Amino acid sequence: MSSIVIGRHHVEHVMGMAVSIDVRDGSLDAALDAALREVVAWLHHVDHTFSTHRVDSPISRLGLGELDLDDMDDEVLGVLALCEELYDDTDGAFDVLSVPAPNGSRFDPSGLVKGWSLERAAGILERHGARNFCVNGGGDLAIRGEAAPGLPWRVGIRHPADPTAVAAVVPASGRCAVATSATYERGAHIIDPSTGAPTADVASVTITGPDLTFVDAYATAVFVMGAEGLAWLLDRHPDHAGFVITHDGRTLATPNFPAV
Amino acid sequence: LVEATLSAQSAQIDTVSGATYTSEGYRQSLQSALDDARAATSA
Repeated sequence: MSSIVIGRHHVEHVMGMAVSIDVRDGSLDAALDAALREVVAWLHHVDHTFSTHRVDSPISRLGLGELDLDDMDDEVLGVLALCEELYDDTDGAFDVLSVPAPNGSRFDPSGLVKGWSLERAAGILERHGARNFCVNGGGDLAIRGEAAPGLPWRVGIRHPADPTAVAAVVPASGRCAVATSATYERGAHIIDPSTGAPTADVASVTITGPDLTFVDAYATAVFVMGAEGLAWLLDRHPDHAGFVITHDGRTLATPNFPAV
Repeated sequence: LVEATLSAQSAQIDTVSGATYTSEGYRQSLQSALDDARAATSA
């Protein structure tokens, strides 16, 4: 394609992943530069505060018992409150206290922090006037607006067996988040809190909905629940949609899943 | 639920949702190729 795409594009390697920021607003270039700088600073702040790979982060020191809840600031306490809310919401399928962390503790909120911080990054871009953008952090997306006037963002859902192919394409516009949980990149790392052991009843789970904080956590929870998880999603969160790829090469989707 | 057979598509897309990749995984990913293409068409 030789046509010029307007806006700004940046890839930041942070939090152990690549975050691709693609802004398609053309008339705001100076404001977009400031917005990108603030987003990048925010992501590094999140890494320093919440990383379970850094033993000196507040969240590691909390997990390792070197600090107490009293030592945590409102930002950390807010994230912990969200973790609790999602534990209750998912009937315990999303449980940050059952995950072995790289720092040696069994407290790893990274699965919540990722979606939450990317959603906050989207908020920063909006505050600077951006209206049409996609923030993709390691395969989880916070989307706003359109890819081009009249055209939705076309989101490929990665094929579990082929990194160069997609299993479905989801048109996304307006305010939309997309998250996928699967084990084909990093092996069986998703823990079933009810057993404490890695689980992979299905090959891949994709969830769509309005807010990546919740969409990302629901993708993890439905992955833990297996194919049954889609019925849970339909019952409890009908404003979300889900798409499951099974190990025997079938796809299961909620009726509202917007794939083409 | 809507059931179908898994197929591999090579449709035109803007971005990819998938399992969280490592930095090594990113270099070999479709998203990385899309980022390179986007960077090449930036104004």
